[in-house]
Amino acid sequence: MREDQLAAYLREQMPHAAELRVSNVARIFGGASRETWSFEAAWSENGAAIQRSFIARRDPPASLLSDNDLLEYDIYAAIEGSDIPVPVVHWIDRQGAALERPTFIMGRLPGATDASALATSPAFAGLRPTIARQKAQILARIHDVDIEKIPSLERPPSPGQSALYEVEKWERTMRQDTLEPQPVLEFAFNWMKRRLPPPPEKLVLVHGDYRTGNFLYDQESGITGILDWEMAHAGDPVEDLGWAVIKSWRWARNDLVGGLCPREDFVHMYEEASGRIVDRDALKFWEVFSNVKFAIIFITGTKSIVEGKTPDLLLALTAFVNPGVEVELLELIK
Amino acid sequence: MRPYPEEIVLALQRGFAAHFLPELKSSYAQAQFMPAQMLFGIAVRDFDTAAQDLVDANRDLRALLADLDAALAHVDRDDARRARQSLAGLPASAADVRLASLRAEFDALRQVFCDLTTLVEPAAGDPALAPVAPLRARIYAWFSADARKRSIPLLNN
Repeated sequence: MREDQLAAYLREQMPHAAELRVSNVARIFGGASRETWSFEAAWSENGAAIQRSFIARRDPPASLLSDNDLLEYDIYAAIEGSDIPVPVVHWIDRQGAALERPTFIMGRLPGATDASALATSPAFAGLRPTIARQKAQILARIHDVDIEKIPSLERPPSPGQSALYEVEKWERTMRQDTLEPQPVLEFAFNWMKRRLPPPPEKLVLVHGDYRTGNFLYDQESGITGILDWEMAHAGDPVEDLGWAVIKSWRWARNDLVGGLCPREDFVHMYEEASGRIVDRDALKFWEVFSNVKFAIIFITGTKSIVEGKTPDLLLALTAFVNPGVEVELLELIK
Repeated sequence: MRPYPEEIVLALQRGFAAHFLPELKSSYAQAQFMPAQMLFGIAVRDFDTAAQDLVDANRDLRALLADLDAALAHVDRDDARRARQSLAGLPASAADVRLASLRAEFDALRQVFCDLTTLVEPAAGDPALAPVAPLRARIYAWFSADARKRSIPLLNN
C-alpha cells in the first residue's frame, strides 16, 4: 500500500480537504487473516490544520480465513457509539478499485495489542485483574447487541441449531482445505456431534475470535478497543467463552485464561455481567470446538502456503502449531 | 559429499541473519524474518529423521490396526464386520524409502483411522464397543505422542 494510493483515495472521500498529505505508511505484523496498515494523514479544512492517525484493513491475496468479505466493517459501523469500545470506521473500498483489494479505513485507537507482554510483564501485573474483568464485561455487552442491526451477519436457522451449524461449517472447511487425513480432528468431530450442548435462549452476536491479543489496552484505561471481528456470526454466547479459554491463548504458559485470571473467575465475571448461567458441560463442548476450529484455520493457512497463494511466512510456521492442538484435543476428549 | 543438505540449510539460516537482517528497515520485514529463521530450524530438525520417523510411524499404525481388527472380532455389529473387511485390505507398504512413498503410506494408514472413527471414538462409553475401549486409549496415546514429536512451542501448546 503506497502513500500516493492512499492520498488519492482520501482526496476522493474528503473533497473539502485541502493540501492533503499521507505519511508513515507501515504494515503491521500479524493479523494473518487480513493485512493491517497504519498511516498518518494531514490536511487543512476551513483554514484549520488537521492531523489524524488511521488504520487500513485490506483483504490479503490469501489468508488463514478463506472468506474475506468485509463483515468487520459492517459490525464496527453497527456498534459504533455503543458501550463496546471499537474504532470509528470512516471509508470502505468494497471492490478494491482504489487500494488493489477490498479495504476499509478506520481511526486509530490508543493502546497496544501485545498479548505476551500483557500476560507476562511485571509492568502489567497490576493491570491484569482490571483487564480480565473488563474483558468479561465487554463480552457480556457484545452478547447483548441486537443482531438485527447487522443484516450481513451469518446466522443458523434457529438457536437450537447453533452448535451443529458451526460444527458442520468447520467440518466442511476441513474437508475442503486439508491436504492430508486428520484422524484426531475426525475423533473430535464425532465427540462433538454426540455431545451437542443445550440451545441458547436466543442467538447473540458472537465475536468469534475473542481473546487476549485481539483487543487494545493501555495503563490508563485498560481495554481501549475490541478488534478482529472477521469471524463474527450469530450463535451461542458460550462459544466465545470456549474460544477465550483454550490453551493456545493463555500466553503466559500457565493455566490463566488469556494469561489474565483463573478460568472459573473469568466465567463468574461473565455470568455476573451478563446475567446468564454458563453450563460447564457446554463450555467444555465449545472448548473442544474452539480447538478444532483453531486447527482448521491453520489447515487453511497451510493450504495457502503450499499452493503458493501467499508468501506470508507466518502461515508456514502456524502449521506447526497444530500438533500441539491435537495433544490438547486428545486430552479433552479422552 | 559435504556440505550435507541440512548443513546447507543451516548455512542459509546463518547467512540470512548475517547479511539480510541488518538491511531490513521496516519492522514488518524484520518480523517476517523471525518465522523464516524458525522454518529453517524446522527443516534442519526434520531432514535427518524424516524417513526413519515415517518408517516407525507406519509400523506402529499397522500394529494398532491389527490389534483393532482383533478387538472388533468381539463386537457383534454390522459396522464392525464391515470394518474388519476393510482392515483385511490395508494399503500396501511403501516400496522404497523415498519420503513421497513413505508419506503416501502414512496418509493411507491415517485415513483408515479416519474411516473407523465411529467405532473408535465412542468406545469408552458404549457397552457394545467395550472390546475396543482399551485400543481407543492406546490409539489416542499414540497420536498424542506422535503429535508431541512434531510440535514446536509457538503458543501455549
